[in-house]
Amino acid sequence: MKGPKQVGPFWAIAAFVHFLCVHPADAAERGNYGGTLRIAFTGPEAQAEPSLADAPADAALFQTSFQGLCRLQSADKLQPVLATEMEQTGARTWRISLVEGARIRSAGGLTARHVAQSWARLSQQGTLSPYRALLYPLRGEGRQLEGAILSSSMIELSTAFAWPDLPASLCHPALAIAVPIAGGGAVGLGPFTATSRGDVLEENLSFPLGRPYLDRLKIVFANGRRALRLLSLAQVDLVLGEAEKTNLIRSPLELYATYLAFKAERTGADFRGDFEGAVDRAQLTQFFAPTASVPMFNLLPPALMPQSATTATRASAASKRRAAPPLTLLYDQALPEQRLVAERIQVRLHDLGYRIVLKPVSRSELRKRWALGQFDLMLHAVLMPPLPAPALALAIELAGKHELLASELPRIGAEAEAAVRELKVRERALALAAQLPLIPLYAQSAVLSASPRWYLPFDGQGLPRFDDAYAVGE
Amino acid sequence: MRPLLLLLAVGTMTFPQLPTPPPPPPSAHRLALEVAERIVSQGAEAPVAILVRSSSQALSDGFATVLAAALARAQMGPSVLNNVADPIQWARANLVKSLVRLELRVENGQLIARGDLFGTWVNFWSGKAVTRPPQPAAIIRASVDADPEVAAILASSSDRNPFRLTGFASLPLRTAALAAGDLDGDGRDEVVALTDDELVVFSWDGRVLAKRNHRKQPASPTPCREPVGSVVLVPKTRQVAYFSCRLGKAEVLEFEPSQGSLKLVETADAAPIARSGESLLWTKVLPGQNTFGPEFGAKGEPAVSLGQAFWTLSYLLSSTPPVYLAVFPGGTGTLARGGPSGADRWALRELGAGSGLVDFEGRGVPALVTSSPRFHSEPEEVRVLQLTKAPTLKWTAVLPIGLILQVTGADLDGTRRQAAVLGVWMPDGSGEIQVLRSLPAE
Amino acid sequence: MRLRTQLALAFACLAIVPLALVLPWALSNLRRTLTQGFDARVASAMIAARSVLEQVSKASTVGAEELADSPVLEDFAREVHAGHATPSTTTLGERLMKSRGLSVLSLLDSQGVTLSSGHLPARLGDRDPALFATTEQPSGREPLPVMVEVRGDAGPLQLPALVAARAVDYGETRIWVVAGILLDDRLADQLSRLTGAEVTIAGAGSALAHAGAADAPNTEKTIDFQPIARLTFAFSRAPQVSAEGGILRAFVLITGLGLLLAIVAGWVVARHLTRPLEALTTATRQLAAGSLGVSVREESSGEVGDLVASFNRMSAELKSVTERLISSERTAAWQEVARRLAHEIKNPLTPIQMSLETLAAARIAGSPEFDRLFNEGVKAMLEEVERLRRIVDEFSRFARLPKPRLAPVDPAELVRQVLALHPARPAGVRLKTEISNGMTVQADRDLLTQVLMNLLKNADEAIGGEGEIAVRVRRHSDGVAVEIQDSGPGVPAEHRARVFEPYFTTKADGSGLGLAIASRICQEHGGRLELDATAGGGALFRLVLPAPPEP
Repeated sequence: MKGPKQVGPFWAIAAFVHFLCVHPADAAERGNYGGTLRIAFTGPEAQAEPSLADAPADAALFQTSFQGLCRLQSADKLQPVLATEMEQTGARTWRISLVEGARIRSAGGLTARHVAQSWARLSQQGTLSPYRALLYPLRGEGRQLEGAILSSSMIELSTAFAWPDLPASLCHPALAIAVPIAGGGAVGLGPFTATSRGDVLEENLSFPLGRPYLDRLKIVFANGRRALRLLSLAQVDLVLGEAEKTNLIRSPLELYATYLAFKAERTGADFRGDFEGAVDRAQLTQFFAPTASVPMFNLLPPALMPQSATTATRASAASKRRAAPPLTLLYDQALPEQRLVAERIQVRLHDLGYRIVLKPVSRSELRKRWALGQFDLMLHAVLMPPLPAPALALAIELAGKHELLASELPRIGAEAEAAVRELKVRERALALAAQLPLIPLYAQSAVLSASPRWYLPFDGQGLPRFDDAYAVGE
Repeated sequence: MRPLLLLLAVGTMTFPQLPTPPPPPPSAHRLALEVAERIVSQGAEAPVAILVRSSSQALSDGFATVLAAALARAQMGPSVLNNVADPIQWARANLVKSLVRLELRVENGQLIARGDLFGTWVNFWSGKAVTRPPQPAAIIRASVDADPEVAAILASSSDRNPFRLTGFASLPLRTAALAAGDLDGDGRDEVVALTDDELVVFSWDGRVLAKRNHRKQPASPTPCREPVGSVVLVPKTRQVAYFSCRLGKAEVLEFEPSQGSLKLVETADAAPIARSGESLLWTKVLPGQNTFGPEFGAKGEPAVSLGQAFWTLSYLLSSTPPVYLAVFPGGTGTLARGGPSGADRWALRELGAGSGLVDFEGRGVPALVTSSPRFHSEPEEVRVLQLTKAPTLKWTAVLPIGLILQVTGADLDGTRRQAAVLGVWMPDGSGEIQVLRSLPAE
Repeated sequence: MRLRTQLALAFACLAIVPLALVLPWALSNLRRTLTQGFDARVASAMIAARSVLEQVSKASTVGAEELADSPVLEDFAREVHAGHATPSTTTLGERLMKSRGLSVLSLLDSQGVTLSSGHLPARLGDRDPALFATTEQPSGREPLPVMVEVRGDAGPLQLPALVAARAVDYGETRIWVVAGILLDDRLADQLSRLTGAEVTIAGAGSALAHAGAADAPNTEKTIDFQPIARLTFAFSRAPQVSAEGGILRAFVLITGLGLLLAIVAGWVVARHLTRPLEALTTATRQLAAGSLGVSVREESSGEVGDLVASFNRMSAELKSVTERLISSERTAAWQEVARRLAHEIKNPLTPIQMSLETLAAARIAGSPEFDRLFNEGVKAMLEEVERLRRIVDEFSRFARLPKPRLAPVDPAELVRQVLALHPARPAGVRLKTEISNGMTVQADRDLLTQVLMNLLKNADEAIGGEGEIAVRVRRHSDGVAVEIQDSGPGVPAEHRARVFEPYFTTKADGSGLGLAIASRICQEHGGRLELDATAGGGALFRLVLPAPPEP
């Protein structure tokens, strides 16, 4: 990537973040080609939509066959994947060249049109996603990118205001290129390709970064305990989404942030204060969402901004709500820890007089309800990009305040230096926290269990990179 | 609990066994302060453990003390490690959040501290398992003008080492292949390095003589994940044959020393892997992988098969008979005397990915220079093995930073005594060429 | 009331009375038995329920003890002692609770903070004063009733439970295991199915769990777990009540059927008994009415059979006797008629004989007076012959009464015609007529005219030229009556019976046959001629003719 490299205090943090990321092929030996990695996946099903495959385990699996234009090796280091070059041609324009001749199975060659259509889905009715905030700085907010297509392999993106983090934002997994095919479903370009056997993914020899070390991946769907048992019986090599403490491998970046979104007119004005007084985040992460989570007090996770305990005014613990209709708390039925967290919230708020009914729904249903604003309370989790400015945009969008983006983002993007930008983001995050109907809860990282004979690195988004994984000799 | 432990660590580590180290020379003092500043500016997390190596233990200790003091002033909770077998393990076990590993040396009148800053924080949730492979996270590089005292200390200490490792050149990308040979007939070998962008010809002292950029050429449909390639030099004809996995094909170039240019002679689909006399030996590359073979041979001649695909093929033609070394994935290798299909061959184990035959003595007796055989070994080691029937370790040194992926022998000073030219991959994606010289016994 | 009805009713009463006597006694007995049975069932159900609750408390205690001794908790205690809180503690309580079949499980530390909870996992980390209070009881006692917060749809609910607490120690760390079973819908359902009653578990004034249904009327029993909960068992007596009702209905039905049966049987039996008696009665009536030779043909046995046989015999005898009597009467009547005829004939024959003898004597004697004697004698003889001839004519007229040729005759019109034919009366005779019209009889006109004229002549002769004659035509119970009443001296009582005999006359020159002929004519018509005395002393002759049945 060619672009201005920034130095400054932000990079202290970024470098710290940088510590924790693995660079490709850092082995003392060369990678071993060959082998089959058997993965037990604890989610209920494989997601087919990039904006829905955002839980770390889902994203890790999704990225094996759907990649985006680029990938973050660390917060400052961008590795082009489906793009060969992302060149800044002006103060607010970037020219992106796509890899030539990359073929997507059953959809022809990768073209700029595929990219535009893929990104446009984020803003369409029915598939509206909070990740459209990542494209917000573009002219037209990423909805109409036909005008940006220069040729079948070149796109020129221009932003409405200065936004230096644009290229890094484009590396988010939700912006992966997915081309819909007839008969439902979608195909993409990734290090592995799906075969006719649904649970086996074969290496993609023509992957622009080079074929993965592994020959194939074999996916087994199993719930948490069964998956761990399969691992201990050596019937699978890796468990994605669940770990026991002896085998746990965690990415160090907790970027999967879970919030409690609420509708103030339904919950009442005291809700935030009541919640803060009733629910202890440290307990929440210690007992109820224990695997790989850290408490999140501010709008952005601890990996992106140093946390300061919330300064929301606490309503007196004795404030009661009498005779109010019960509130419904929606949560993702595919994430088992959300059930425990939802129950905890239900129980703690019950002591203050709130009556809350829990309702598990599918993730697509959850997003639909978010898009329409049809909910009382919702546990909503999104995968934050490892950069503070796009993360703030995502948080504002998640809170449903799309209109605030117009006033907040340009001021942030106007700062050319990353460190200053980061400070501004931090300040805005603290300022906006009370305004947004969003209570941050905790942030999680990707969690896996693997037998030690596999080498599995993580990328800058905190997700495992299966294309760089290989078996290590005994 | 933790502060106690730290105090204990600091206490045991710095005070009981050793006498108070002498105050370091001013340049080392300055360097220590600069390094401390760098460490703090890189955002290291307290507490920090420090490991300093140099050819002089006393200098290392003094340097470490000053560095620790500076870090302590910056509230970094430093502790100094000495004689610790596995510093990273120690750091984890003692709940140290960052580890600084430094190497001190003098080069070109500069006292250079090079090392890395390394996060070792382990979330207690992760239990005993490694949460992530330890990786160097930030490079600490600082240098000050060396005063004569420091140079003297280091120089005299270096007498204890028969080998010396110095830098040679830096490249923006990691090296895919290395080769050395006398292309311009001046008696000293040139070093040719291949990266995914270009092929660079260096002179014996590290100057760039010629470059060929192949980045503009279209990529192969089956690109490689790592920088993979091969370079073979034919000094007589001044030919440089190279294969880059990014291109998916090989090019044979002719080096024009007076113009400092490389001219394309021909292209080929196979990869040049070795030389026998004046003819190039070609092999196949498994598409998208980092292995060659298993067969190789000259064009038009029957191929020699090594039985399995190999990572590297190293050869010493100046020895009689010529010796070939093939390293296979997994760290095994085969050494064959008398040519690649020589009758006298024996199997080797525990070779690193960067292995090569180097004739340090100039007598035609190759030594085996190899990297650490351990997977993800930290830090990287360079080992010099004497090639008897059972190779014995003659010398080993620790590389503070980087991984050795290529080893080739080059006669850089015209004395027929080769030095080992190492292709070192840096953690930030760049590459370095370092030279391991054997020092004459005095 | 007829005998048959009486008998039938007697039968019915005979049948009813025992039933009516038995029914209340049986019912009360039944009620007592059912109530006893019900009470026994309730008692045994309550015993079963108590034993289930005992098992529940035992399960709580045993569960708590077993958990306290188990290696899982030892490991857990060790981890807590070492200060490691593991992620799996969130689900530890739930897993242990489910695997041991408990419905309440809390692991508390020595301050009462929940380390893991099976029934409300979301309570981890909070203090639980209610369950912690149970740990203050020394172990070995019965489990305690306590209100426990469990998962519900809209948040935690309070439900009662029986819990037991045991301690697990590791060094100085103490962990309390509080385990138990909820008194919830599941337990209520189990108890309800076991006892067949409607089980309600109530606490703090409201019903917390409920299972089963019992229709009113109910008997309630309660088991208390003071002060937390009360289990109420409502046993429905509806089956008993319905059983009673059913049996009562059955009884009533049986009684009704029995009554019906008794009535029918009685009727049948009575009929069987009384039919010969009725036949007998009918025959007797017929016999009394005059038909002879009536016999009862009913088969019967026993006394009634004897009676019937006797009656038949009697009837036959009566018939033969009556026939003999009639024939002897007839013979006597003919003898009488013959005697009278002989007498009548003899009367004129004597003078004839005398005359003839005189003549004969005179001829012999050659008497000169023979011519005179001959003329006188012939004159006398012709007179006597005339008299003889008149007697014979009347007798033959009597004997030769023609059969009446019946035709519809209007008596009113006939009577008027007869009155019109009757010669003019002397002035002193008043004729009163009361003639009803619209009647018709079957009669021979001529004969009837003759009768009426005869009667009128008699009436005329009776009043002797001065008095009143009433002629009436009216309906009579036996048909039509024509009455002729005179105001004469009447007929003395001793003659009234004999008036209609032939040759009975009170008149000097009557033949004595007029009324006999009239009576005979009336009898031939199927009617009769009656003579009544009137209040004024005169004679009332009533001619009764049967009227033909109304069309």
